[in-house]
Amino acid sequence: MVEVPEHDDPGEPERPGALARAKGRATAVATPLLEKAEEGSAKVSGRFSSPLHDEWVAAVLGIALGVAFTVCFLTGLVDYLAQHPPHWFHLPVAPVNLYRVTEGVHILTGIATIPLLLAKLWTVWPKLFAWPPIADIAQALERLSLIPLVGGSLFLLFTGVVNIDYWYGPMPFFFPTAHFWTAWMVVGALVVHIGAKTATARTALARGPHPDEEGDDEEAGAEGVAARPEPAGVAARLATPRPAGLGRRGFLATLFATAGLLVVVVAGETVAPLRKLALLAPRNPTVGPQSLPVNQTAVEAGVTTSAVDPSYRLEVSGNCRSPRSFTLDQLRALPQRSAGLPITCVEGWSAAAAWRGISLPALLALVGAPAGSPVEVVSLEDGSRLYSSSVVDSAHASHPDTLLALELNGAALDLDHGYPLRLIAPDRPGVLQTKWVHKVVVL
Amino acid sequence: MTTTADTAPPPRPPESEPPAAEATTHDHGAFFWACLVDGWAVIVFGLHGILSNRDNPPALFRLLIGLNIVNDALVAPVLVVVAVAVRRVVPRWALVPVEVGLIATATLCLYAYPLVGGFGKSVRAGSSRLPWNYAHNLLVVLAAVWVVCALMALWSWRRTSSNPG
Repeated sequence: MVEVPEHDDPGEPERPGALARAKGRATAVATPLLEKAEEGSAKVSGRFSSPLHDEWVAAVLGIALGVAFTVCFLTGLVDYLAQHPPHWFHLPVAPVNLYRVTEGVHILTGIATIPLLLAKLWTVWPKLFAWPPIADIAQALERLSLIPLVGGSLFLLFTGVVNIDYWYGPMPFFFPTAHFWTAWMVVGALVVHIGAKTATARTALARGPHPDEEGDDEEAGAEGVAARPEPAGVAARLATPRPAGLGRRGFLATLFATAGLLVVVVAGETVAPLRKLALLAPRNPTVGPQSLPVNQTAVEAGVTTSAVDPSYRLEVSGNCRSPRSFTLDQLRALPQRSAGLPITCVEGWSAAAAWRGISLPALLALVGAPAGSPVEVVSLEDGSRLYSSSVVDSAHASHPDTLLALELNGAALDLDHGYPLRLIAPDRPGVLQTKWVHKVVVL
Repeated sequence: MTTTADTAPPPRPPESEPPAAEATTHDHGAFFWACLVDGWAVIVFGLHGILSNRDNPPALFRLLIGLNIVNDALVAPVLVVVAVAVRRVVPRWALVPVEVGLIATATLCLYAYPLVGGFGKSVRAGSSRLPWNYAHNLLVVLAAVWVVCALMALWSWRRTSSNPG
């Protein structure tokens, strides 16, 4: 109960006059209200008799979510920086599947988190009715951090799922930056939550699941509790009839199995051996022109005419001794290099493919560009469109497998894959593998 | 999430274990304060990033707060009602398989809703985007889930009928 000082509190001097009378009236009104609120809160909390609303379940789910969110945050950080690289960040060019793995792990971990997060929120929902809601300023700050923690976590999962499903309607903002900055808020709130709940979780985990009503906990009760001195409450609880339905362990097993099932029916969009099981994946890595999916078609990019124009030239200019332009035939006559490189999109799908074209460092040597120069690769798309050009950093520009590709899987590029010429390099997000290239500017 | 229902509790024996869990929550030690200060610094950093980005922060916050409210005021109460209803309707021997099936079904349907709705499809985007018949595929996955649940129920029923006591 919240204590409201009475007017005749010995610690408080008598204050005559209107102020004292007003305070007395306020106290007279507030005290019964607070008592009623407390009673109501206790009554509501008492209704949650399910064994699943307990600290042990919350602790196990909390740890699982903490691990999952940390993995998502770190991989998401890499993915965001790779897609919007500041001057100090360069994703390495090897291993060649690095970006593919970080992106895949990010998406799949996020999907696996869905049942765990919803269950955790349901498990701790009765705490919403705890009374008093705030005991002190520290707890107020801790409880306030639940808004970014709960709302932010739901926001991340919701926007993540609708983004991989290409459903942009519910997101009237730019997904990558909104997702990125909200992730920071969630991580901050998670740190606050860890500070507030570590002791609780540790105690709950040390105590273990109660040897209670559930059949699937019988063994745990026999092993886990017999080893410790058994409090009278536990013994008494053992004597109570078991409610039917899922127990704590069964509940957790169901959640983890559901998370695993979700991963299995999606992972095939990036993990080739699981491809046949990818029934709920937004992409099939073998479906698309030349057996490879397309994120942005030539129609969407508005290049259906310019890309097939016979007057097409590739211009190489900027910081080089002999800038020049190449016709398509001249490009085909240059020494060609083959490379097996994956294409990985931020939506989480990826597929390896065989590319053939001109090695970028060889082309740069041809125009007399200084060794190790970064370049800007420009598309035929309208320059105002997002990702209509991309910068290739020094390490990628000097890697022989960074190609200006003319062929994919043994045939000329399909228009939707960037005909007549596209960039393909190791460890770059799909949106930065610029298609319909017509300019290379040496920086 | 349908689970063991929240109902009027059977009379519980008095607890003699120390209520250690909640009691320790408000022991504001150095670790608590370090996490509180550091955590809020990171929250403010994220908040600053959202606001300085000026890419429709009001819409972002509306969605963030809205999801909070939807969970607390709609999803959780509905789940409690469903859990109580299931517990009253489903026979005891089938309760676990039904609850397992409902948890998996609810999660799969929630995840697959945008896919089944095909909201991200467009002719201009080509046929490689959302290439499956997701309603069909969802039914296949759900069928597999419920086959497993049916086997669990059968096993539970046989165990109950062979051991009625």
